[in-house]
Amino acid sequence: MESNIKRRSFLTALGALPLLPLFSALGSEKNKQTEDPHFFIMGYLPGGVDLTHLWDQRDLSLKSSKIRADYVGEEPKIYGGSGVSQNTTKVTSLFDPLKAYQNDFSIIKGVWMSSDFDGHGENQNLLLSGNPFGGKLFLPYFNTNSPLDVLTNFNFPISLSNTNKVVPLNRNTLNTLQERVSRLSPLTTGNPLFEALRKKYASLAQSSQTGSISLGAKLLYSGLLGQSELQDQFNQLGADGSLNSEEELERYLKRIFSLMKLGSTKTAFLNLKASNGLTADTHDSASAKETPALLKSYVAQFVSILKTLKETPYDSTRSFMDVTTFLIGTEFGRTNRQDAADIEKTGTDHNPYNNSFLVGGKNIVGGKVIGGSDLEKENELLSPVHLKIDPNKKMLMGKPYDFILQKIREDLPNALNLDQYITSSSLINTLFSTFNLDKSFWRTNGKSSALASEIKEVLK
Amino acid sequence: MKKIFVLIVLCFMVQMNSYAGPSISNKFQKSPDPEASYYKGFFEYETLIQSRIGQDSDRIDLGKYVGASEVGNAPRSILRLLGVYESGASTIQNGEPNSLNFLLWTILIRGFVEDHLTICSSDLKFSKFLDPQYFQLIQQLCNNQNFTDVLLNELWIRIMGYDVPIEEYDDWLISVKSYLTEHPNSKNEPLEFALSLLFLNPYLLLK
Repeated sequence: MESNIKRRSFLTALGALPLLPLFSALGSEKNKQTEDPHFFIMGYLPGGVDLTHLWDQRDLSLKSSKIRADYVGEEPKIYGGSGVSQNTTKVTSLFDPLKAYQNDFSIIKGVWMSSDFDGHGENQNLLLSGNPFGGKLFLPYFNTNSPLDVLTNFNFPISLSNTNKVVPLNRNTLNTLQERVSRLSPLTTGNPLFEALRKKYASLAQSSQTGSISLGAKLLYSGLLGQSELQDQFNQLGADGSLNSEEELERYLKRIFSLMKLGSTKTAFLNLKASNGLTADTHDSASAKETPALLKSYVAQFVSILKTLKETPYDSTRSFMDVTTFLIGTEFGRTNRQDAADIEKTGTDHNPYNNSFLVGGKNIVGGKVIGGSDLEKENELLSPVHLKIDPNKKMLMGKPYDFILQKIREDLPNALNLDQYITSSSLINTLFSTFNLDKSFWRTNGKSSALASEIKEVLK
Repeated sequence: MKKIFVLIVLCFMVQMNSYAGPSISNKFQKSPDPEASYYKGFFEYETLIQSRIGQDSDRIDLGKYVGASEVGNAPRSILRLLGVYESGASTIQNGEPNSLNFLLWTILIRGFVEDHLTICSSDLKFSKFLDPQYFQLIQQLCNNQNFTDVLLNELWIRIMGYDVPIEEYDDWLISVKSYLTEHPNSKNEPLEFALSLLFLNPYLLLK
């Protein structure tokens, strides 16, 4: 039998041998849909949104006592319903649209952000990297085999590293990219340019003489092999259209889900903006008075996210809600009022001592309310820790939490020990736990050397 | 006074480090060696191409090939995917080659090369962006019979400059001539091939 192997083909194949591990890594990407799928989505509300008016509301008596401004202006009700763990949490009517999904998420309240800084940047950095001065963005930790780490419509601060495979893919960019890709003839095996580039990149990647170019060529080689698969993925995406805000978010999410399902990425970061142009940073009273409208807009977006997660099938038996863990929240909460301001006309300032989040999806138990904040009654005795930080009682503060018994502690600590509170670190470590992430990734509470405790009650 | 200042700086550094958390074990490090070359980035690449083959009056707009210049459908943010220096940043963002940005670079380069080929059909619209000598060179190379060592060497130097190892030129020349041999009846495809291979050369794309 005559051999058809040409000398050049043989030498080319021989030359590619050292790159076999690279082929193997790419091959494993092809198998990723057979792995246990697990994605992550974070919905971020920039500016420090006062979410207490949704699900941690106080009675109107706190307003009449001039302790807390309340522009919602209604007596809140105890949060309850089928499958929801009962406690003293009070919700307003602004929360109502979320009730249809209340078993799909849990509320984490009384979360301490930075105990040292109350700026947007520091608390944003703390939430995203575990360090108020910046560091490694945590989302890429959830990615293992996909070519991209995070799809996002957000420009991450430059103080965050670990973002080289974070792709700022807003809706317009996604549309443009899809349109351009559809015009491109495939650059695949057998195409002379593909083969010449493969040979070029492979030979440079193997060269020990060319230093950093060699390492860069290895990445180009990997990019070349992966781009045709990605081109296919973009070509399979559905068409977009001009839609209103919530529908636009749902459509954008569905396209992100498509890219996730196709294996482009495992995580997405959504920068959520109030559709009516309202600001979350309500230092002035006019903005603060618009808090109900702001929250109404955000609740509609939360519903869009939950609805899209539930209604978008991953396969014949699972929705994206079943295969995605999600987190929705902001960098900090807000104060009840400002010093010396009329309670009817006050703005609100930053409060990093009491934040709250929605978590849900894969490996998370729904229908729970975890943690809590103080100053529920006007005559409540506050802890020395609270009074030292906030002598004028302008803030709600997260209560200490017993991570062993998994319940709020009712004692009043004299000294601050962040390990005894739900913090952004314990929240993010809980997410890490849902992904079985190695503990070397886990966060500490700043100055503490111990890893921040996960919130077991919310874990499946 | 100086001692107090040093003490404050030290305290600040200790504070920063206290947030650092545990280090991440190597097995989870997905980034390549930090010494690896990243893309030059869109703007540096465009400036380089402009300086080598463009002319001052009408500047080459590479962004249009990825849809970044069309009014009404002009997400400049798409350029960020090709590697850019954000204001205040010391390192390039999105500069690590991956499947998506490589796909985008190929869209850009193949569109740019496609415009080169319009010269071969006597369409002069693209010529106004090119240095006259480079334009003449491309015109000559529209004819495959003109793929001589002299002209190919000139094309190489025009685009790649002088700071690339000579072996790179040899490799490219062999590839182009092989293509000609294997596609004897082709029209503009050899020029398309030669240019695409040049514009996607790691020494041009990477830092």
